[in-house]
Amino acid sequence: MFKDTIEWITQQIDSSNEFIKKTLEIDKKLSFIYFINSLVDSEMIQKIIIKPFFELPSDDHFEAYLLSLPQQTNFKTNEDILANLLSGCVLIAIKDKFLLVDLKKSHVDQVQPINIEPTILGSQFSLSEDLQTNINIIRNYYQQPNLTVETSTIGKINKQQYALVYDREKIKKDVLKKLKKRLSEIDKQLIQTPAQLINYINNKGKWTSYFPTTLLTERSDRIIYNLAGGKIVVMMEGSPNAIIAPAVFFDFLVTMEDNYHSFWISTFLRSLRYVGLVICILLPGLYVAVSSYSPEVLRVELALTIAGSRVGVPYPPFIEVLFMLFFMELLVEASIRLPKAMSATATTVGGLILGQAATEAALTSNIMIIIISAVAISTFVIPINEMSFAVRTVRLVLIIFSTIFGLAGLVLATIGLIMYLVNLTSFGEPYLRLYNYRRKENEGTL
Amino acid sequence: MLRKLKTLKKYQIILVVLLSLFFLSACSIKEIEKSAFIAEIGIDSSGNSEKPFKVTLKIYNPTSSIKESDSPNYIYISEDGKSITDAIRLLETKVDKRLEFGHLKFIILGEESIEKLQIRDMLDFFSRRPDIQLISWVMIGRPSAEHIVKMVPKSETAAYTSLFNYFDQNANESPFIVSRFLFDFRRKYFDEGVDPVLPIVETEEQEFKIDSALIIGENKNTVALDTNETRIYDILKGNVFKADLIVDTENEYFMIEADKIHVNYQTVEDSDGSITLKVHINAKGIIVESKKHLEIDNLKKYNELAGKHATELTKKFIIKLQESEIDPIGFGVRYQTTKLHNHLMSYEEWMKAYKDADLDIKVTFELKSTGQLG
Amino acid sequence: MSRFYYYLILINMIANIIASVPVILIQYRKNGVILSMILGIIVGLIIVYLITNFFNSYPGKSLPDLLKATMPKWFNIFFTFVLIGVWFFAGLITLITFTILLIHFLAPEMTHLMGTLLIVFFMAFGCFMKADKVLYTVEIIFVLTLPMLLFIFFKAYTNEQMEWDYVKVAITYINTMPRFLPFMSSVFLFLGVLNLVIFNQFFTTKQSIGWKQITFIGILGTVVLFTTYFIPIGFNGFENIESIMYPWVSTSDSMRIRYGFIERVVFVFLLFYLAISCISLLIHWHVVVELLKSIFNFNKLKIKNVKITPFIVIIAFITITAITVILIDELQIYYFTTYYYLHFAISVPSLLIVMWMIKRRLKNAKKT
Repeated sequence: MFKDTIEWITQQIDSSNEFIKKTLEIDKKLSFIYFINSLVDSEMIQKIIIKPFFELPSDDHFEAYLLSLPQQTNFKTNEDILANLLSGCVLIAIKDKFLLVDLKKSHVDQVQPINIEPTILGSQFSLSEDLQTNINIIRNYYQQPNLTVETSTIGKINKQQYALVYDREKIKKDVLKKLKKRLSEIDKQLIQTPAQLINYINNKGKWTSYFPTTLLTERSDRIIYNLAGGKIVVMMEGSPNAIIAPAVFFDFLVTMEDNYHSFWISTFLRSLRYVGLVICILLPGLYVAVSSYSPEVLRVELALTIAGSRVGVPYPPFIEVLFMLFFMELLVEASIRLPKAMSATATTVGGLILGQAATEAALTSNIMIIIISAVAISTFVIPINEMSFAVRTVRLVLIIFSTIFGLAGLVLATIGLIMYLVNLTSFGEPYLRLYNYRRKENEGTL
Repeated sequence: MLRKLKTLKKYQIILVVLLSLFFLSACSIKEIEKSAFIAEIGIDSSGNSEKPFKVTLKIYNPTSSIKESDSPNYIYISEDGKSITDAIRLLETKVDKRLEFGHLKFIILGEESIEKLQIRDMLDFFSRRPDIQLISWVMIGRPSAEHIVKMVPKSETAAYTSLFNYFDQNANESPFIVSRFLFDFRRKYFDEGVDPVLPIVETEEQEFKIDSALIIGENKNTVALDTNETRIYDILKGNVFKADLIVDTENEYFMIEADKIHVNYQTVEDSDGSITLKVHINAKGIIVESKKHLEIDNLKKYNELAGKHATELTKKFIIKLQESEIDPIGFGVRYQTTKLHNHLMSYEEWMKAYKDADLDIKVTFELKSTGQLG
Repeated sequence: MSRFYYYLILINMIANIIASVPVILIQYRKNGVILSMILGIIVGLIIVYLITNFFNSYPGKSLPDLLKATMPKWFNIFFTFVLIGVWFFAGLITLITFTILLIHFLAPEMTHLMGTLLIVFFMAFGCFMKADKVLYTVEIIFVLTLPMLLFIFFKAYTNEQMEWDYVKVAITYINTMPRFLPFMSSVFLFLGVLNLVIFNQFFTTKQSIGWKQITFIGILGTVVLFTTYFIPIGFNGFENIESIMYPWVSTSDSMRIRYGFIERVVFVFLLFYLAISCISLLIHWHVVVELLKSIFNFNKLKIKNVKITPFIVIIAFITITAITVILIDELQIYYFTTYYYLHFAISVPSLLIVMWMIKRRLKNAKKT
């Protein structure tokens, strides 16, 4: 029986220098161990399996010892053995039995510092790329018996492991059901990161999902906060980001710092963010609408300044706005990939070219530069990246409407946007709602 | 697959509908630098009976940097026409840009145009157009509107017209300036109980001089007020922040600056149908200048002196108004508020009663101090 | 009492401050307006109380549900069609009146047709949202625009150019007999509560209406009516105000924000009013769509598995609006609005009678 199984396994793996077979033999004890050496921790093999083998008196003792190990896993079929070997288990043949011991070595279980969502007062470490480490971190911070962790795999080829973490008392049951149903409906070949997963569990089809309905975060304190508020967290092996579902519009404009500061300061900061959002969406459209259609809205001095600064610019305002926005987007996109040595160049290029030189060459007006810088700065005030991407493109739609219809078009397009946002649901929760007056218990969830 | 098709189709239809809106578009983009912003408009009578209206426009010429240019830049155009709109149509051919009335803030009527032309026609033009601000300032130009419109004082910067500062009460707080908005002029003109008052703008050595006013009564009955009378009118209407008074009686000569002036005016009808006009003014202020040494114990006496002097001045002013049969302060409207509408006198009876009315005028001063000196 | 209920009433009040109601009131300023307004407030409050009380006894049910349960089918269809007409024209009148205003002041080169179609295009898709989504949109836009509007009204009251003398002169005409048209216009301000015929679906928990709520609504209505009639008179004078076509626009143009970014108050006023007219239109046409849904089954017509009925309805809305805008000019809109206000003297009592019959039938059904 041994021989058949081992032959089959060797045939399946078919790579002789990775699949290692070791014989452990002394006195009357005989045992064979099989493993794939790039996946297991050799030190642990030596410490846990080989050393005790040579110290324990007999085979029975060794078998009893192995059965008592916490890393020992059970299996049913040969395919299970193969799957486990491929995920880092060691197959031990002793007497007539096979035993599997899980001694996986993970090289990515270091907790990383935060680089997407930095804060001043919060924790500075994010999650790691190993699922078990992440679950460890979460469980450490949220020590409640109600915290349920359900692991499963997804993706036909890479069989990525993921975990659903939630507090069973606090969540809404139908949200959990919806999420599980959507996860089970995915039949893609390769899913590597949670960001990819979001696309497939989202509300509607490919063409209509635009605003993010789930939050992607790497901060452990945000995850704990949302777990306490009754949300479901999906973590995946191989990525430090976690998905939080469901997420409503106001969740995207909240940083963890609002809980750490005093009430007035955090109110001030939050209103600053909302004002930034409004500026980011409306300001280019306002400029186009006012300077193309209704210059009498502004005061005399301002209208004269705008008219004066546009002297010599060869094309109408909306082309100017689109041109500058296009350059700004290019700059932002390129600066993600700049090596550190060239970041100084980027600032010079951006500042000089988009600023002074363009005005001097009468390609844009002075006012436009100010508007573009205000818009650029306020785009990055939004804490969560996906919302900031969505907002950037919504701004273009508003510019188009204000180009065609003027100020009235801008107001109507904003109302249309609000209606669209109100109509979205995130797993059954309404996306944009000012105040949830039906909630029975008022937790700290924002 | 079917679900994707459904959502695809729905949004294709929406896209088609949206694009079809482009065909309807009368989208008329007017670029901001192709508009000529009009700063002031002046209306004179041209003396030509075929084309009685002479319209002068002052248009801004925008410069690329306000800080670099030191003198303001304007264009002036002028034309005669059968009506104001007619003149403006002719003026549109004289400038290469489109005329924008949205920033017009000064309407200057020439002194002769008040007599020779119909104010009603002029008011109609300004109120009927939706793009002229109803908060424009109206004034009378002496000797003619064209002269005032074309005048650029030496102290003006390129940022905006210096006339702003005179009327805005932001920079200049003089009590001799009457500032009158267009809607205010309109409502007072059409109402029988009140007569509108407009400031008179003159020029003197390259600067504006605004210190008198013109009251426009019924039937083109106009009365000019000189400087002091204008000040009294402003005080009575409550439009001033500070007012001065020179008291020059009984061996005292000092000057008071009053800054909290409370005016209460009413009409009281006696049982025999005659009217008493009551005006009570209560002013608080301090003494700012004096030719003689002042005692702080004598403040009460100074109060009385000031009050008596001010009462005399006010009385003289109101008697002048009564004799000319005009009512810029609004006693007529006050009278209308005292009784139900069907018990009121008619307009002619009221004017007669107004002319013969008794006066009950009292001005009280409360001087706080004699300034820094005694 | 849920705050969404107040939104329904308030939107109707505020959306009519600027539309045709002040023109009608000012036409009758020497002819019995003040007593008509007072009578209108009293009658309006009575109607509010009766209707809210009726709907409070059946929480979560809309009028078509109740009609289906108690009345014969022919009556249902007839009555629902009448209601559809009433609500559709309410929305249409607000839309056309406001578009005319907007085009005059903000975009003179736009044709009336394009202005109305633009607004209809946006709102038509919104009418198909569910009742609670509509109310959330209403709340958000209300919260965004109301502070600015309140600020403008506050500035109007405290403006130094506001002459209270003219207001007092207007009040001296108090001893003239009330007339029917200004009375119906004042009642119309309170008729936002009629939107409950559909929006009662949203209020699934039992609400209470008592003296406090009625007084609050009464005070709101009085303040709104006072503002809409007296403020234009204060700013524009008493004698010649009837020649002003749009009294509130002239009034807001007479105000000045001295140190503000935008100096003329008209533009701010008009843009925020655009938002409020849009949500008023949204509420009215949502009621129309829901009433249509109760008669026709929307899921029946399908082409290739796409529900086609919403598009038919939208195209119908657009066509009727387009035809109306092309055929009607400003004076006819004014007459149309007056007839519309007058017809409420028939529809509101008949609605109350129908409600009374429903109540009796349901009580009898419960007894047996």
